[in-house]
Amino acid sequence: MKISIPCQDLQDAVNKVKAVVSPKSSLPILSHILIETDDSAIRLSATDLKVSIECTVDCTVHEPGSMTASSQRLSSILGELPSGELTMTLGENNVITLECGRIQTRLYSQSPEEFPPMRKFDGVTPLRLEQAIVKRLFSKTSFAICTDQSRYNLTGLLFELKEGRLTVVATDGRRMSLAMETENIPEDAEVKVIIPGKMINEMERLLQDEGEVQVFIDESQAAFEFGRMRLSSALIEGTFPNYDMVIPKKHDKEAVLNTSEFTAAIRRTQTMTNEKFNSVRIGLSDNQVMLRVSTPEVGEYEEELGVEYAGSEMEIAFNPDFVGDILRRMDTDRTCLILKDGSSPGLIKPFGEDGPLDSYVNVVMPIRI
Amino acid sequence: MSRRILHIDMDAFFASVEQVRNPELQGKPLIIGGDKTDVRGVVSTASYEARAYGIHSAMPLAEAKRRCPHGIFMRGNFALYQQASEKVHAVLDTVSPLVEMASIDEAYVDITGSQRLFGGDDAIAAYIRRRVREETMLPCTVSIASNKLVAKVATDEAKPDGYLRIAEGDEAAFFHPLPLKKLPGVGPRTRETLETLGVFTIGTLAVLPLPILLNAFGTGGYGLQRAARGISVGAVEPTSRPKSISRETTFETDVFEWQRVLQVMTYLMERASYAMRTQDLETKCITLKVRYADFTTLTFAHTLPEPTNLDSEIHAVLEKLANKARTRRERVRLVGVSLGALSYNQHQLKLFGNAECEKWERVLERVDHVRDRYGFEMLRSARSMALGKHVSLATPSLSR
Repeated sequence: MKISIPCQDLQDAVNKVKAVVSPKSSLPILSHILIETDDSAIRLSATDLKVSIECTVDCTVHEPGSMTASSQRLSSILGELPSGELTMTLGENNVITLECGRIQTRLYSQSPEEFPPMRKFDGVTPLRLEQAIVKRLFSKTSFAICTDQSRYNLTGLLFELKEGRLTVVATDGRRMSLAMETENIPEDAEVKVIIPGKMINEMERLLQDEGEVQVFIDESQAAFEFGRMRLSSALIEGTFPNYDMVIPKKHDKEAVLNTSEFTAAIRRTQTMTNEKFNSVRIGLSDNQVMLRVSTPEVGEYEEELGVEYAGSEMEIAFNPDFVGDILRRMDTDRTCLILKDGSSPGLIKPFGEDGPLDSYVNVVMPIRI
Repeated sequence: MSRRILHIDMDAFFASVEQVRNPELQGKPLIIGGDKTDVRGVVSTASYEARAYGIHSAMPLAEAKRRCPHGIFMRGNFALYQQASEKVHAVLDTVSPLVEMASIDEAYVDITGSQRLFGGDDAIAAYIRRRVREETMLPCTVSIASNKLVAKVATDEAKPDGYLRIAEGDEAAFFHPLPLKKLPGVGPRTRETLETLGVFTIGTLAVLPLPILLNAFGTGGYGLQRAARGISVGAVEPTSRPKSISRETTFETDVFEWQRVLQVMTYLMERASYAMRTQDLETKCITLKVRYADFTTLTFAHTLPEPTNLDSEIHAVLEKLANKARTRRERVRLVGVSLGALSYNQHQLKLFGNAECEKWERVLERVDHVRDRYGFEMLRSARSMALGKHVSLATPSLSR
């Protein structure tokens, strides 16, 4: 195998796929990137056996074939090479020769046959969605994905397509975020799967604001194809909790806050908490909200904010990180806090012209005062 | 005007309580910590008569018996000491609302605001000593200074049954001649380092050029020198909460039967977690301590994703830790359980599975209620019942 490619192009492609490589894998081949030729392009693949990323990039193919290279090594070499045309040749015994101007490097590698096969989706009809929509929905919810592996069914994002509505939901058992879109969604498809968190994080990083994404889903795996990238992974088996049941329906206390003011205030409260005492008390009274933090051995914080609120006085405590995560992703000028009492779940929604919007719903469990 | 902080420390507290209860013990070397037959364990408190033989707290019982064979050894009665402590607390409450019980037998009182009412430091001290004597018949030592640190050191100097007042501005002069070991926070290691620097008294430490201290102790050097100069800013905190709660015990003889280690571990855990719940605390870090027959001491810790106060959750963690401890094939001398990273008012409610947790919380609340009224032994989990209805440990943890 022999190819020529501008250094920068190869480096960009390597950087896109290498995020998935786990540096401390028990299988040495998994620290490598597979490079295969394809007419006048090469395809780079990396996998940790769960999530795989493939990226295609144009180049001049002198001799077709395939090879592997250590992702760490390749990316650091590429980072130091001067810009220009790079020639990669696979020689005897899996030795790769890299030539760039007057630089010549030999890199020992492993046999491409050892590389695990990529997932196939033969005969699966893809769903077509807008990248911008998928990206937005993922970024609004992915922070709530559970990282505790003992709760396996929560370590992914619920991806549900039904009656022309795309709903994604993530929860870690203490908070839940749901984002929904009804425009430009295929009407006839029906899907309900849990996609692993790692895959979602990579997607968030790689998705663009323009163009289309094709989604391939079968019984046990899913792939997202966009631009010249393809990400695939096994699905999480198990049942996702009934998210609709978790969303409180009968809360009657509604407070409307200015999103940027509230976000800034919550950020300030976060500076006053520590690992052990991580809560902010939110006290609501007539058109006034009081944020209060009291952390032993650290100090106290108080701030008063204006609010549209006409309900009875109440106090509730939340983990400020949970509230901040949501507010940072709020794209309306006003945010609505819907509550019942200090021990019932709180609901945080965007507030539009005509009231709270159901396109982005966050349920946060309080901290018992 | 600066603060005036009073420190009160009961003299040989446990021993004094016993001597008041049984006057025959007065004037005799009395050692609380274990009775004549106990071979393990350490001295909890020694009466002043026993101290004359060089016996001090934390000394192994065997050593104490060697030094004073005719001494009177008792296991102690914690409930009694608690009662006496509460009486002392009640007296202090009449002086100022700012009372911090630092332990069962010592307390800090911020008397800045009580000066005019009582007529100054000396009057307050006299009042407290008289009232404590009336309520409990126990001797105590009281000292007053401008901060907690100086007051504590002063009490140590005035013991027993004494009173010492350090006027504002005299702190450094008072500290000056004292040996390093009198300064709280200076342990054997720090002292060793200081001695190599030629520092043997607090006075020398106070005037040692700062760069030398910073070189030896890093940023800790600042605090060390401030302390040596009698400067401290810690406020009296009426509701100070513990940072960790631990229970441990030494077996009468080294135990090889793992089942018994687990039973005692469970028993200690139940005691610790009961104590934790009575203070409305939750733990996030659970530690198992095991000392083997060869005196190797290992600790195994686990940090939970969310704090808990449920016995079942704590026990599940301990069982896993115990499996690790068991891999060392050696008899066990001591086992201990420690609940750390304690927090309060921080119970994160959950979206799912709350019902199960809440059920257990309600159960434990009732269990604790029964224990509050009838004693801890009234209700225990079946896991530790093999130890018998009344558990008598070789070294009863006296302060627990």
